[in-house]
Amino acid sequence: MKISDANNDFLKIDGTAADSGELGGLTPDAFFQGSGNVVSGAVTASATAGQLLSLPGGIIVVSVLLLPGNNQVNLQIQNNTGVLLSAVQDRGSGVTQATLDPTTPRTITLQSPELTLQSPELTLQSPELTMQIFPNQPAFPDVVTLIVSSDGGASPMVVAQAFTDGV
Amino acid sequence: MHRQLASELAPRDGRRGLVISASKELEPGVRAMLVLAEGLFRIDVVVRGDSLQTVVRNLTAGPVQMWDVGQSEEVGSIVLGEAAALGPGRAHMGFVIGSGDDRLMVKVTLATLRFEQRGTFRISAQAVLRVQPLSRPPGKED
Repeated sequence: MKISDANNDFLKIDGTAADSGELGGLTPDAFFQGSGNVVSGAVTASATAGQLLSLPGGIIVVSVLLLPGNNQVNLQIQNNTGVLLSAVQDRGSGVTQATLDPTTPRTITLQSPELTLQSPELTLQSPELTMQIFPNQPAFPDVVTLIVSSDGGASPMVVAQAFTDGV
Repeated sequence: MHRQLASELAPRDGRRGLVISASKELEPGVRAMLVLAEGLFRIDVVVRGDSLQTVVRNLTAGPVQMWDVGQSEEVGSIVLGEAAALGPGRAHMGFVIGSGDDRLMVKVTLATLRFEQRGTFRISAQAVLRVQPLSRPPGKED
């Protein structure tokens, strides 16, 4: 048997099978770029803007401001990547497209918390905002999910978690 | 009512992708569907004591193979402001689902917050799906 034929037919001792681990011979890293982060933030909203979250490197910063009079909370999302980012958001009333302009912070007013009684033992409170922010290669290679909720009231605590993941 | 955001990602190396984001606030012991990929899989979650149990239901006719994401990926955690009082937690998992040309790689990151006053937990997730090629394209072999 020729060496070239043997190399085609048999796996070398230090080789990797093309279907090893059912991953087509590639490691999971080959399918997803970089590693992820979860950023958790909470702040009691007040008439002075307070930082709720900041993604690593400060590339996206979310601040909270309590509007006087009606206890509404404004979120301000600052895109510091230097490039325009597209996004979608759901505030409980349907999904809408959004953009995050690096020159202008995006302001979103939170709606009142939606309580849904599913069954006697299960109460679900929807987040006021779920937002997906999409990559804009190469400046911003991640997909980001931002989930924000608040407990309402005169001094609402606003809580958020953000997921970043290379795709 | 189940709510989630699902969006298609720009193809990478010709492979399509999807990102699904979801969040629910649950009482301990209550099992709920957190992520649903129609016709592919669903992920249920339940808080048991200090643990988060996840159940992956395979909705395809093909197999599911879990992979240990922890060996290849590190998911960092950053806690800001008053969030430390909410005991933020995180977990991640990955699996390959389906067979043939429809095989998908799925990476899921989960995060939790505990609302002690309400006696509930908020469970959130981001799932990223990518079509996995069965074989490398011609000319790409080692």
